[in-house]
Amino acid sequence: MRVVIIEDEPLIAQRLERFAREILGERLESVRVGSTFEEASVWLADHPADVVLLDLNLHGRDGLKLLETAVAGSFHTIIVSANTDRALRAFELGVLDFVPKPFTRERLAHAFQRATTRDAQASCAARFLAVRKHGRIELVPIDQVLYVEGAGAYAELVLADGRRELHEKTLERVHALLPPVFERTHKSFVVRMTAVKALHAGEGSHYELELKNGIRLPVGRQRYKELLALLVAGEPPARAGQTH
Amino acid sequence: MNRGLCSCLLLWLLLLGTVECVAVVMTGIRLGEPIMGGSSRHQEGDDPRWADPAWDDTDWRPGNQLPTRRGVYWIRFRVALREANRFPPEARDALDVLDLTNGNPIDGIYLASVFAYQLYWDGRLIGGSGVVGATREKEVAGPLDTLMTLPAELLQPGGHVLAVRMSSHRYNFRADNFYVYPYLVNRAEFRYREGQAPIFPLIGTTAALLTGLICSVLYGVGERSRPLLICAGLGFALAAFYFLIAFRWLYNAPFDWFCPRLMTITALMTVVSALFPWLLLDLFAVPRPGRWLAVLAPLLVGAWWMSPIYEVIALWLCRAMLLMSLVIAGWAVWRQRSGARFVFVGVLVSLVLVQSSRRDFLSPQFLGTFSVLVFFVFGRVGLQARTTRRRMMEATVSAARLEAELLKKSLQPHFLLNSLTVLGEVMDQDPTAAASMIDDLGRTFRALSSMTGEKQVPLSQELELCRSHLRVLSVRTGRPWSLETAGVDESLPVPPATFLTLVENGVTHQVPSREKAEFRLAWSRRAAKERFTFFSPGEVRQQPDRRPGGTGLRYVRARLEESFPGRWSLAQAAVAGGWETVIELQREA
Repeated sequence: MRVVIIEDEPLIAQRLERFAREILGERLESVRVGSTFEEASVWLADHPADVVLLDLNLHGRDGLKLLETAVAGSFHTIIVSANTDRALRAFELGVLDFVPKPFTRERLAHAFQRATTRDAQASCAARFLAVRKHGRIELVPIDQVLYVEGAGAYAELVLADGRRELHEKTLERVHALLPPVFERTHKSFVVRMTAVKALHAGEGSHYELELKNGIRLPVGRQRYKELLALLVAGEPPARAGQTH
Repeated sequence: MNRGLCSCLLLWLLLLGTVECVAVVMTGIRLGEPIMGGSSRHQEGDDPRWADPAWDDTDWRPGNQLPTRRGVYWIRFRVALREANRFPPEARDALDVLDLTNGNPIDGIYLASVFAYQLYWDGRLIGGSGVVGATREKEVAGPLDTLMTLPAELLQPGGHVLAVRMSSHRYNFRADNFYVYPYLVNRAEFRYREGQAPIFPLIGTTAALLTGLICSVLYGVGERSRPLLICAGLGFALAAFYFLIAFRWLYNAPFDWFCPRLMTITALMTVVSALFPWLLLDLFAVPRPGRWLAVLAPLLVGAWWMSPIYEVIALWLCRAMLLMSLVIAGWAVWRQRSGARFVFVGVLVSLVLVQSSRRDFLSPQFLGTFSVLVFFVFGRVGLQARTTRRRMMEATVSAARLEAELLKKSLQPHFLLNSLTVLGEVMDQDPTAAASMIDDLGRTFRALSSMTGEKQVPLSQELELCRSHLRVLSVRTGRPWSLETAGVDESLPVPPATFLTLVENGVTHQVPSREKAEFRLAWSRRAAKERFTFFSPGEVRQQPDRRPGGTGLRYVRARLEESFPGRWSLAQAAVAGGWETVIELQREA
């Protein structure tokens, strides 16, 4: 795991680095410490990271704007801050975890665990996904997202009105921030299940999901049974549309 | 809001000034304009035959300028009527008898006298005032103003003789002579004007009295500002001044009251002439007001020696007051004081009016302008008092709120929680250093809690708070911070957490260039002003999203205003190697 620590107090940065080494052990590929976000951003432009540990109050500045920039990045953001009154807003903006100061090694380990567990789910409190557009950060309400399509190192958010927004995170990382109503239906798709109209099984193990707006998305062979069980146990839209 | 109030006040005062002008027109009727030469002759001595219109007075002294305190003497006026009961228009500028009929038929005669007299028209006794006497003991003072009836049969076309037998032992002015001007009047017209005359000075009296009372009450209930006290004095002096002007129409007092009344009016004018410039000095916060008043005092005293005539003394008083006020207002305009331009123009106009109608300093234009000016200044003082009170209230509320904010800022989350996080690491690395840090944290919070609710604390306590805070920060930031002082009297009281706030700002917003970062506090005093110079090390961090005058500085300003209302200043500037904050303040005596 590649970790970047952004913290203006050297002793706290030392503590975070020491804990990260102890918690992650050999899994820690690299750790970089910066005292300002600008300084860390320069580093991040050339060195991809998996997790950024970010203090919300760097040199007396309110870190919310900075946070919007951070969560639009390809990495997971974990806030380590004394500003607990900003925790709710941070989760809304899509941080993976919020570790209040002063912190213990166990609490930090829990945060790292969220970042490393496959298909990890955050607190499900995210209401927005931050996307970088024309050099600015825009917040896309998660309510408007129909499904997310993986595109290599990026993910494409497809919205109810048909717009498509490119997110710098991978599909896995975006999925980790989304609420449980989103399911992984294919290696390249995460779909809002309440938008599904029917599950179609075609010839040659070819499966498709039909959304209420008529869009058809492929379903992974391994995912089919899981989805079928989910739809049967769930509410009518999927069950009624099942065709064999 | 303030402009609206000022406009209403000005409008009202303009109205007041206008009615005051009318009142003074009425005063002018009494005094009249002297007409030199003319139709009168006078003679010392006493002979009842001198009332006879046929008496040959060609050997008498010409003119109506009479000696004072010289026993009994007579004056005879000749009046030629072309038409019955009508004042001859061509004679208006030629006679010592004046026309006050306003075009109506003559049916009376009016005389304002500072002497006892008997008045004869064509040999018939018409009326008089008091008892004429050869000595002071025998003379009895009568009313100042007398309106007498002239029968119609005495006002036929042709020549008439008006003879006055008089004595002036009780004439109590300093002058050795005086003029006599009888007025031919229409009594109905005259009484109508007489009835109108006191109304307007009484309005002035009421307005000035109310102003004086309001200012006194405000001062009494705790608004202990000197402008209010001066305003109260000025209000009462003006009220007495206006009342004495009105008094003549309210009560027809004996003529020997006239001189003391004029003397009192002039004395009141002296008081007004001293208080008005003083009020301007306070209103515009002019430094060293004592020196200005020391210049004004001899001018006012000197005015009393310029003439034996009270109107002339008052004129000189007025000139001295306006000249000094003009200089003060000019200074205020130069220093861009609020309202200074209006006062400057008002004073200038008043001065021009006094100079242009110098024979009667109570000219309608002058009094109108001066009334507007005085009441405008009253209004400014009222607004100033309101502003001061509001600033005090705002400062109190704001200080309470900011005090809570400051405590919160220090206690949570950044300071306390970050300090505890660092403490965890220090405990792991160096338990002894951790114990020392706990001690410093304890000192910081003890000092802060002991200051809560205090308006001012000794500087030594404030410095100890700053130093314990800096020791904690030194551990946290890994950089040794310190606070050095030079020439500082540590017993001086200062608002709590003032310098702590400057320390916090310095640590947060500046980047020291050297490893060792040293705050410096210097103190000096010049005259009554104290100056604290606080140096924060390091260049100011570039923070485009940071707004100037943040919570910290608002707190400091609110605290200074609370402790030294209107007597402090705070300035900040970049200096070599850092940032300098200069606080200047003036403590109450």
